[in-house]
Amino acid sequence: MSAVIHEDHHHDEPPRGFKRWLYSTNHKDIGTMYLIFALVMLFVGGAMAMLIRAELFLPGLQIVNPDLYNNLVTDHALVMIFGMVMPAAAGMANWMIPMMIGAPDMALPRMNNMSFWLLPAAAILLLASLFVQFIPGTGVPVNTGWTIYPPLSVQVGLGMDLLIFSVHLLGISSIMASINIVTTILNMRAPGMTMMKMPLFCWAWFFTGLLLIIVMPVLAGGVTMLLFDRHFGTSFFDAAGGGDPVLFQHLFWFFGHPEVYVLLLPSIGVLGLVIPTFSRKPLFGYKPLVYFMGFLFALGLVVWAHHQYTIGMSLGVTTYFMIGTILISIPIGLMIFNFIFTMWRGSITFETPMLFAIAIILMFSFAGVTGVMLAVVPADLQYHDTYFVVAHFHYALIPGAVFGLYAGVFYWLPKWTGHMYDEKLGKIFFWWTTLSFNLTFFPQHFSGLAGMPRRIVDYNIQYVEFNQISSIGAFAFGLSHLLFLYIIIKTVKGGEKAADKPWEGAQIGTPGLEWTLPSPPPFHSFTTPPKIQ
Amino acid sequence: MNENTETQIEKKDMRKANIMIALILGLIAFSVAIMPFFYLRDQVM
Ligand code: HEM
Ligand SMILES: [Cu+2]
Repeated sequence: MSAVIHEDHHHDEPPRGFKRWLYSTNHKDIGTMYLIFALVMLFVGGAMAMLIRAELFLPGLQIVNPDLYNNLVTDHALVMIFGMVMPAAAGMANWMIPMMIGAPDMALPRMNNMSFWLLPAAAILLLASLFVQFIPGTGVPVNTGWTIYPPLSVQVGLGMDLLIFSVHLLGISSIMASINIVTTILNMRAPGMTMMKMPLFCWAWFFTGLLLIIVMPVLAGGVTMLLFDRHFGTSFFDAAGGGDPVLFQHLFWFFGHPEVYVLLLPSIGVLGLVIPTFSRKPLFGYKPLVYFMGFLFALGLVVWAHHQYTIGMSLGVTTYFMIGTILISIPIGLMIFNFIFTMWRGSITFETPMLFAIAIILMFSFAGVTGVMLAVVPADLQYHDTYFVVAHFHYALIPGAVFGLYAGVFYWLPKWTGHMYDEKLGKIFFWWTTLSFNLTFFPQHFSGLAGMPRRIVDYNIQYVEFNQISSIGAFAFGLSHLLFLYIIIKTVKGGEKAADKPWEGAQIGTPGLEWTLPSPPPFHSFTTPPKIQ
Repeated sequence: MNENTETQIEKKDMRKANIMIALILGLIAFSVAIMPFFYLRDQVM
């Protein structure tokens, strides 16, 4: 009997020491680890970006040699996508989804532990693939770009093998995390919490999870075939052996295009909470928004070849992919209108998360416009592989994914830590990042249209001014993140006590179960299922 | 085990269903993963 009581006590308190983290099956602890991991990788990927921009400050070679430069470009993308955005979004899902739907934890808590702990291993492999080039005899660095197209990726050295194994681990991790999230949403909702009552963030992650389950395995299969071509004498991608390098492009982009929605959707989910909260109005058109996301999910799976217009597909195939791609801008545009209508006649206040949300709507729409330009085949034949594409996807991904996550961080920090963040610093951070982001990437539209190719260490003298503006913007953008780090640490350490529901409008139009818990919530959220009105 | 009986019942109820759904989703993932390999038959090994 006394043993039972002891057990009780033991389990209500978090275990002490490293075991709390290493053996954790608690959704909040795992969420915290995901978020910290993402923050670390943000600085790793950011350091790579700073090196890239420092090198591009002037034409010619200054800091890094061409192969190292291209390896940095490769790893910057992989670190930011797989190491930063996806883990940060998964961390928010872990923290918030069980609390939003009134579940005691994730559906499969042990698998949750494993999904997280594969990530540090994958990160070590990925960084090893960068640094292995400094060991003599390991061959050419991974100079392929994140798309790792053969035949180049078959020819480069040991770094590619490490990268492939890293992608395997990342893939397994995100497939398991997605299975967990989808299962949680389907099975663990509190009585009365129907799917159509869930906060938009849950729906966004539901579709994200399904997308990942469908496309990540294809990437894993593709890179495994690459591994076979490299070492086991197959010729999947080698024309001389009856294979076809273009097959890899199809496999990669069947993953790669849906992947951009994987990065986008969780942030759209955050906007679906932030905008109603600070407009003090229910979300405009909740149901249509769910359908738009479903439409995006379905259409997103069948438009991948717009990344390969230049490979010489038949006219019919090209036309199909062009029309499909242009169609995608319809649900994206409608989502934006729904957010604008949510703000319409609301009583808006401009806290940091809301500032980010409004800026996202403006800047992300801009990416939608350049996206439609790129979708048009004859135009894309000009733009492809220039800085115009770089500008397009940074406008899509930094507002569309990264700033959405920042909005989420500021929106939920009070809930996570129990302290309010410093609003004044938050606003300074907002203006600093937003302005320096635009300074960095806006000029790249022009250098791209003027013909500057991407992924090249050197450039023609005519592009100097645009590149210098870009580099200055990038340094300022990088620097702003030290402030971000400072704000987070300061909030974790102390500050004004946060109420259970720190935002006045937080529960408008949604059940808002997460706000019924204290800030910070207890170690076990809902030991008895909550009731939904 | 550690929480009160109400949750315990609910947890027990869901465990099987959770694993079932996870297995179905895992099967989907596995089948897409092996699809590209069917190109193997076209290969000169
Ligand atoms: C209106 C919707 C959009 C359209 C029509 C569109 C269209 C395109 C096209 C045609 C390309 C290929 C350009 C080329 O390589 O020549 C492209 C590249 C890209 N797009 Fe978009 N896009 C849209 C929205 C988005 C969104 C929402 C994201 C992410 C959140 C995104 C991320 C990317 C990325 C990362 C690339 C470059 C991949 C690479 O080559 O490394 N796009 N887009
Ligand atoms: Cu795409």
